Amino acid sequence: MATLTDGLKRAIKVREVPAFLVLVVLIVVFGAVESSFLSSSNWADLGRVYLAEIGFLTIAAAIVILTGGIDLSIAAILALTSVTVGMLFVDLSLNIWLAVLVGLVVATVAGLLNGVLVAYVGVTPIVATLGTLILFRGLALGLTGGRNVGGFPEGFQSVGQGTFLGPPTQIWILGVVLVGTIVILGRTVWGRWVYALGGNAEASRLAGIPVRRLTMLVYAAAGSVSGVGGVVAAARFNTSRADFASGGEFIAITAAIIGGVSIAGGRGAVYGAMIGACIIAVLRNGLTLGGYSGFMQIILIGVILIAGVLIDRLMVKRRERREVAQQLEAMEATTSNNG
Amino acid sequence: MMAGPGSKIKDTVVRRETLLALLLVLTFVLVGLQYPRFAGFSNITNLLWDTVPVGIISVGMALVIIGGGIDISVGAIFVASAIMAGLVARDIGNPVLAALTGIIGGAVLGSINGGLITKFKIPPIVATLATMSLFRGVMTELTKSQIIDHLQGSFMAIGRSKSLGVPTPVWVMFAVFIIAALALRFTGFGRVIYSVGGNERAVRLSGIKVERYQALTYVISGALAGIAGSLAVARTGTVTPVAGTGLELLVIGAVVVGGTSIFGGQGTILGVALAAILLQTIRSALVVVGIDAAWQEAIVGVIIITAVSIFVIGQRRRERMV
Repeated sequence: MATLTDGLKRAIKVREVPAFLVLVVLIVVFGAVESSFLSSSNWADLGRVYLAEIGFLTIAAAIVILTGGIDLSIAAILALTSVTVGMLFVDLSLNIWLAVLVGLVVATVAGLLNGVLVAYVGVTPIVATLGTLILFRGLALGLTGGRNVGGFPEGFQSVGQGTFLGPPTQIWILGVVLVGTIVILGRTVWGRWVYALGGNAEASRLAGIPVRRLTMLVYAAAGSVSGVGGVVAAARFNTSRADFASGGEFIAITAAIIGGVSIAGGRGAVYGAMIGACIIAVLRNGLTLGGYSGFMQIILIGVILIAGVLIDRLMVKRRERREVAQQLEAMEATTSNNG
Repeated sequence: MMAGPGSKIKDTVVRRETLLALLLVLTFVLVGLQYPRFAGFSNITNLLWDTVPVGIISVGMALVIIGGGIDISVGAIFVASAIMAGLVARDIGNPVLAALTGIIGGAVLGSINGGLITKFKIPPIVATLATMSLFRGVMTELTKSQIIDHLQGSFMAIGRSKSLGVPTPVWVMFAVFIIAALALRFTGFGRVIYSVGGNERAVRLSGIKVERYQALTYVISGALAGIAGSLAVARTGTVTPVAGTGLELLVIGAVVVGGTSIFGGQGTILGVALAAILLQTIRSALVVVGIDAAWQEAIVGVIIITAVSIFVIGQRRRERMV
């Protein structure tokens, strides 16, 4: 019995558990209320329409927030990538897969620009990526002149509309990117450094971590991952537009925070952020099925975000209190030994 | 530090406000030489009229950021106030009541931000991210996503009236600039806000109720977004729940280009006002010069990035010299 409560206590200490429980409850509730929610066609819809593209953005948002930064330009990079692919294929008749490759290069370069501004020029992340948000959206708008650019071959469309062994194709891609990110963060030196940097930038620098290069690479990676989202979006809609995923950066940051990633950096996990993205996807999908408007969804997302942060603060406070108590005990123990 | 007469002159030249003013004059001269009407009275008043929403809201944002916070929800408060004022103007008709509803409504929404941030200690960016969703969502539910129009003429008269040839909203914007600049410089509120943004702990230890002042910046930010929203709906006579999307980004852009440090404790209303007007002037100049409107945003983005980068590099060099 003791081990069971111990296990429970340990589980509650993990930041991702509350988010996971919320996700399970939402799925159960929607499953009970809306019979169509648990149908396989709705699962595909959920993944395709509500999760995939926001999922890529969430990974991008999470890795940057873990370093203690923030990236407001990710959704703009998504749109810029989709537009690049569209224009290269339609206007320049480039091979579609070559166009995708160039699009991902553009996304990475866009991320690199963020990284250089933040790491080498020294602009604060929120300011730098606010500027590049306006720049990248502006480039996408300027290049297309506001028109839709699309009409892609079927092979490419299947990336956004097809299935592979059941689930939608893009969910597999999202899964691969997610697992790759988790492995890099959890199993490589660079991944440890990301957490170290987010925990204490000055200490990281003094410890010899190449802070600038690391920061630049993380922003570049965020750009690449957002770019994958842009490719998927172009394939799903069979077109590309400058206003794709407008405001998506805020949804992605919200997802990361709901999933237990601390906005101050250094704490949280990418899989937790993905749970947050799933919560938002399930909420939007379930409420849409129930006939509620898009804005009811937005309200609920706001409420969950505030509730999540309040719970997080409570947990942090409790842990700090416990740590202080332990330190006091330890001090008393040493003083009594000395005496 | 050696403070010879030379360094004093250099300080004045390097000051952000001087640079912005020079850039503003330069833009008018360069474009005006080619297109004389650009520097004419009617174009300048129109240009200032277009600056009003960003200009007024930037003042509130500057107060919040100087005090060490940030407010992402201003675009949502702007549209919520516009809707509230618009509903009163359409259904009741009293123009003063409509304007007051918009302003007080904005202040109330701002106080929700202030409460969440100072009472519950939620990081400002997270709290206002959440309330951005809440405010927009609630307003759209209330209006059922309908466009509000057919406002009564008396309310629209405020938005379109002129005195001395200048539209009333422009007068209001300049009044806001001046009052805020004076308040920051000459009141205890101003001193506390600067020092809170500079070193919150020190101010707290000196016995000042830091939270009360910080909460007040969010209330003011909300009220100013309310004023901007009321003026906007009075000018155009129509408002939709999706209006003002992305407004918060333009506002933060103006505040930052205006020389306000995003970490708080630094910045002037003059700089912010000049930056808001400059960004709108450049946008307008691009149209006059004949650059496709689609490229405007990209160019504005480049300007923001360049301005901020130059400022950061200059600041680092100055610190090294000291």
